[in-house]
Amino acid sequence: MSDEELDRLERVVGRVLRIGSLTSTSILAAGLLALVVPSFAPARTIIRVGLFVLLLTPVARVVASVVEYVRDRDWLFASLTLIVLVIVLASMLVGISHA
Amino acid sequence: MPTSCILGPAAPRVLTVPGAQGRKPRAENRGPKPKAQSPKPQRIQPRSYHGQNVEMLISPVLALVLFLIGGVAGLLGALLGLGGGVFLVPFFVLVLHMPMHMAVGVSLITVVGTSSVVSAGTAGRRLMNLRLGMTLEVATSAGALMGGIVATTLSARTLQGLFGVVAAATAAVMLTRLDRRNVRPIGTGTQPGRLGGRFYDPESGGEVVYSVRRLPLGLAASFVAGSISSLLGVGGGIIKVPVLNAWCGVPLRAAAATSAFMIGVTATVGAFIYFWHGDVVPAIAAAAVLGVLAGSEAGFVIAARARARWLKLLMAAVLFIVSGLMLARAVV
Repeated sequence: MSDEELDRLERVVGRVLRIGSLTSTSILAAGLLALVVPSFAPARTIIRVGLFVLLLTPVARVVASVVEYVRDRDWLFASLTLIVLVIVLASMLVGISHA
Repeated sequence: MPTSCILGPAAPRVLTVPGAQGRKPRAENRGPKPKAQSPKPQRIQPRSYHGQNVEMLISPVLALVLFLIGGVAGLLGALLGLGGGVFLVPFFVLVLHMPMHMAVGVSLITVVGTSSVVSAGTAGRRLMNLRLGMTLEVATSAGALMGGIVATTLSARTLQGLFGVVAAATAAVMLTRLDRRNVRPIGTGTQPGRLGGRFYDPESGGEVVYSVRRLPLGLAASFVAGSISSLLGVGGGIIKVPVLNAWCGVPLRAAAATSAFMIGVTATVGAFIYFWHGDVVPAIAAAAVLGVLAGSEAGFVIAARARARWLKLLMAAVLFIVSGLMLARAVV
């Protein structure tokens, strides 16, 4: 993997994380506000969505990395990140099955 | 009154697995509101949260308390480069009397938030070692999956005892590394290799090049860190960073940035398990996340000008106390 490819990966990862954290914190703040200030806004739903965006941000970052590695034909790292993705999906399944 | 459950009278000791004693009808919690009879702080009763819509019970005051507690934990975490979890969980358990599993689940969610924000900030400086991080992530996330599954079977008591032990170990590690400097002088002839890296270090004014040694050891430490993360609601950096730095040849700043990056996906694995298991009250997590993020922003500003040695000594003392309290809680 060349330096340019690595820099591009870092840019993509940084962008995904930035967008995800900004979006989720904004949604969470809005949800909390709706919760403490009596209103008609569906506070609980807003907060849930915010938490999902927060938790899905690192997952989106992993997905973006897989895409980048495949694009660079770096099969070793594509496989490693894919394994991480499978483990994350497994954790969702474990959580749901234990619920 | 929607706040009566949370601002209730002296709640029973909360030491059992959440849910084990729960699922009593809500009506039980709806007695006349006991006003100001108890000098105790706000408590969260276990039976009022598991499987119930407790979000409706979060008062503005509790949201503010959670935000402030998160803020303090985030501040301390950022000052020490530890992450807020190691302070957040004991705060929740010892001060708010939150059930251990809920404290861990909520803390994991704040760890995810911290990781994303911190890594978004470091991205573009080549300080994070993405290839090393993504390799070790296989081990941290596998460890987190195992830890999360095990955690659902363990009692709150066991988890609290484990937390006490790990907090004491964290303090001990901190004390042994008081004088550790960031820069590790490395010859310019070093080849970074497939997993190594290079970055510009403003402190030494030069480019630091390093290669990674003893990868199996790094993988093993990452697996342990991942399990600890899911079991205790911490990031696990306290295990990975010293190992990567001392034995794998990764400079401290690169090790810390890479660890902060990995923690996001690691904590997500644990957080999903706790979330679907019903241990996370979304509104509580939301208030705590925002608090931790605000606190760590402030912490980074202060950390830039604080004397690290004095801080670390103080925090090691705090951690020993926290450890003792958590152990006492586990044993008594």
